[in-house]
Amino acid sequence: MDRSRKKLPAYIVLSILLIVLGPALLSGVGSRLGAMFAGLFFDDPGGNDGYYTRTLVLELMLENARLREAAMKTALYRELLGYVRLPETRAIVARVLYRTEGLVGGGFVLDRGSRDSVVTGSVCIAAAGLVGIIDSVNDHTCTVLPITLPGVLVSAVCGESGAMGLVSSSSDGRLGMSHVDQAVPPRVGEQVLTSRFGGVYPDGIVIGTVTAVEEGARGLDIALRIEPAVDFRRLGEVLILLPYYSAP
Amino acid sequence: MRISFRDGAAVALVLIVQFLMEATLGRLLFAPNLLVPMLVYLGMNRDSGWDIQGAFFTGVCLDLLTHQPPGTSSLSMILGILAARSVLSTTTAAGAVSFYSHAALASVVSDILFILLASRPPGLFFGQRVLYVFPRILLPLLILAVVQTAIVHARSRSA
Repeated sequence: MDRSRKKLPAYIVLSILLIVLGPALLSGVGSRLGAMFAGLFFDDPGGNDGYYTRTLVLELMLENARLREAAMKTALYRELLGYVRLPETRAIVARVLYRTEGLVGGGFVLDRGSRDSVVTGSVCIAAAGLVGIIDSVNDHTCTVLPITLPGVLVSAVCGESGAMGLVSSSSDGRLGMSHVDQAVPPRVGEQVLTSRFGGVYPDGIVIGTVTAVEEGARGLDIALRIEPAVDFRRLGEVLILLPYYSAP
Repeated sequence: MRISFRDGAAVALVLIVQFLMEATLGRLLFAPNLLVPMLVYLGMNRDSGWDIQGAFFTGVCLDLLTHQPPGTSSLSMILGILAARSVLSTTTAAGAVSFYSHAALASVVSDILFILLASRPPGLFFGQRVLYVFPRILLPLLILAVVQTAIVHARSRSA
């Protein structure tokens, strides 16, 4: 056995330690370096008029989502079920610094962190629709799990038919909606929106469009194929919806 | 382990090319796996330290570049190359065939391990995505085989 083979256990243990502790160790340094790197290319958001314009545009987008909610005719159901509106949310604009690459990819790192009152579980949207949910937060950066990752589930409702279900992604990145009641079959081309019933996402945010209606895996429900509204390959700027309790 | 400047520069270049391909071709469909065959080649022909130390340090660099959990590529590449060595140590294949079989097996094992380890929670991405592993590995080896054959053919004609 040569010398390099003798070091094998040490390198394997070191790799495992890096996997376990690496993200936590790197998060502080990486977060600060990411913010510094972003500062090289982007202006200081605090002193830029364009920043406020973009915030205004994106806040109007939020308003639009609320109006869409009214158009869905769900107010009656909400009253009957005794649902109470969530408190007003505050939103901040964030830029995508970089994303994970390789065989297992898809997470986005944004230039906002706990210093901007971002908390884990905050919802992230773009001009076109829902992006995902904040998974981890550092001082200056946070990571978004987009809805195209298999682990992210979104309670959703079809805009016209009102059919409800669970939006999730398969391991190859295709978005679908499962557990849809056969009694209200949605049509191809119908918009899929977030539903309040999941308790995580505010309702009325566009997720995507129905591209195919199929029989569910058990034959008792309907499964939908969905084209995401957001182009995740060209995502540059997003809006983070802060829960009311995290606003400064 | 003694690293010559030429070998180190070659690995650094392949590392950067691998990252660039992950960030471009990887988003479209799949990026060819160049790093593992390179480490296998260096481990077989230059210094056996490339199997372990080389895989560890290039893996950490690749993880930092691609924003994957650090150590994931290192562990998967070390175990992949070792698995290939262990399995193929019993064979009598020699020369180029030995390199290709080692590189292919090491790449398959390391890519599958990477999918298992890098997804959160572990194993979540283990599905149809595993199928990308095969073209990802076969494509660079096929191109290399064609180029190698062409060079050998050209040399034999000129001789």
